Amino acid sequence: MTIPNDTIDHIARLSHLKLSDQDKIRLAKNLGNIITFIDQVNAYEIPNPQASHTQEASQPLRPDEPFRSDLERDLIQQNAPAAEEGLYLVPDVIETSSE
Amino acid sequence: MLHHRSLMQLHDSLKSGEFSSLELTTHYLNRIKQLDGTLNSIITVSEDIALEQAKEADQRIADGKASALTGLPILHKDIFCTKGIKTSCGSRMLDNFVSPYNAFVVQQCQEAGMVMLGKSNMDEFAMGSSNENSFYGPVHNPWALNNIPGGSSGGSAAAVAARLTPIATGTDTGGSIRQPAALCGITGLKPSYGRVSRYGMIAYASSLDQAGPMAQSAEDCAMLLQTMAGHDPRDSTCSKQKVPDYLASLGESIKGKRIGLPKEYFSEHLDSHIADTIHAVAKQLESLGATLHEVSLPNTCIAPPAYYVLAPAECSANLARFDGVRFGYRCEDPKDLNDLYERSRSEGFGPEVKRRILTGTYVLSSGYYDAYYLKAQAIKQSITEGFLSVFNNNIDCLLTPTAPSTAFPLGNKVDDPIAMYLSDIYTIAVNLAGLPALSMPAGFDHAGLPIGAQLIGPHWSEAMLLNVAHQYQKTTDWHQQIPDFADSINT
Repeated sequence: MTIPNDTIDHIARLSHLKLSDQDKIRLAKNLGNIITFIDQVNAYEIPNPQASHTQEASQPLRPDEPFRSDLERDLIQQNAPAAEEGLYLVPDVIETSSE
Repeated sequence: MLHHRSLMQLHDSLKSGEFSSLELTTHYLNRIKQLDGTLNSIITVSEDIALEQAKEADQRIADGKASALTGLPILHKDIFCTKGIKTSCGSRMLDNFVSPYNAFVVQQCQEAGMVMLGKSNMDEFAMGSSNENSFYGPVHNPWALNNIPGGSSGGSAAAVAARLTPIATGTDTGGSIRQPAALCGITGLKPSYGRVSRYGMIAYASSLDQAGPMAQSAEDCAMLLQTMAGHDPRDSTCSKQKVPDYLASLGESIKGKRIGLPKEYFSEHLDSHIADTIHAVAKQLESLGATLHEVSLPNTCIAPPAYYVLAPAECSANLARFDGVRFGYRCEDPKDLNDLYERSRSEGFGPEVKRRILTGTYVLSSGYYDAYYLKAQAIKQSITEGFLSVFNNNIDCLLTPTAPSTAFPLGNKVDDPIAMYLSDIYTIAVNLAGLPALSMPAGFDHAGLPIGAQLIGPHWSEAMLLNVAHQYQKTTDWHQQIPDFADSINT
């Protein structure tokens, strides 16, 4: 099975991945084989199907209290590719008119 | 030779003053320097920290404040966050990431006074069964340097097998502790889901990921699990189930233990040498007083496809956090925010990670969710019930092969993802059911490559699995076999 290009483009967009043409050729075949493989799930019959997540169904709670520490923020932002005065820097997100 | 000794023997030597933790640590650091250029099992060697921790451990021993693990060296899989030391998860994405905090597992080991030698190599984001998906290059199997060590905890397995460390941590989402343990001839335990906190362990598939020990023997695994296990409120799935004394029950007789051999794990497709080896393990356990019973787990064959729906689905969500903004890799000169996201992720992730993100996105996308994700969840439940029904029918534990083959040559399956995925055919169902399972060395194939036997038990039965494995290891010496490579130098 080969996955059509527009399907690959669609899931790549949803995944925020940019794929080269060569990536797409390789993925069309690989992903096709993977989807044929997992399609067995679709076809498999089980009596009384029930979805479940874990064997313990407890949901622990904790107090809803804010935690603030400038020191912690500074430490965390040492890993930021670009940060200034405690803020993360990214390219402009608001388009400006170039009159 | 120091590195031939077990963790327990090293503990006794430190306690008696035969040598210091600093001498022991220096010995292993020297071995790493001389041998790891060939193996590539370690991404970061933390020599300065190790020497510092060893001195502190020696002081603690002198003060009479040592625990069972004080002064013993350990290698952590590079998936565990380590404060002040790079935590890469085997990815270019985190090549520049220095964690501001320690994972629970790292913290526990540190509090016990263990000495961290470094961070072990792994498949990128724990996605792989051969350790060929690491940004830092493949790991070589010390039993055959042109072969894979298994994955994703391949660096930990190879390092323990080559005696570059007495013990290591690993993580197991679909077999990533047990399969490399089998292929490298060591003992590895995947605990029950919820037994060990996932805090600070970089997530792949959160409902399946679990940390565990990788060591020379079941006894050594028991020593480390004692420290790794326990409740941690920072992981909401971490259990409050009491942690038993794992060492105390190791010596119990296994007389009367009922061991199940699931017929689906011994089909005609299984390599005959591996089948014979597992049957020899069964006979050995029988000679120790256990009884053998054929059982059936009818949903076994559907476990791998169900896993490859659920794990990629979770990974596609978990890895959405890597966007080039707050930490990790960022592309050069992004033209806008979308370009920043897309190029950072495309350049930062390797091919297998991208494949799993895309697969996960596909199965969760509109129109496919019920057919794949919900159905796979139902299969997961059905597989769990299948195991529980066997255990409720007076079976104490199951004995199976760990992997369908021994270590294959590097590059053999890189172009065939399905063949690679099926390397975990005997380990995956355990993760779906959240059960504990252990792989122990059980023999060698014609080429001299290790074969692993897997023991699977009911939830929270780690002590029983370790007991059965320890009794087996008391009467066999497969776990004491060391590859020639480990003794190819004079230290």
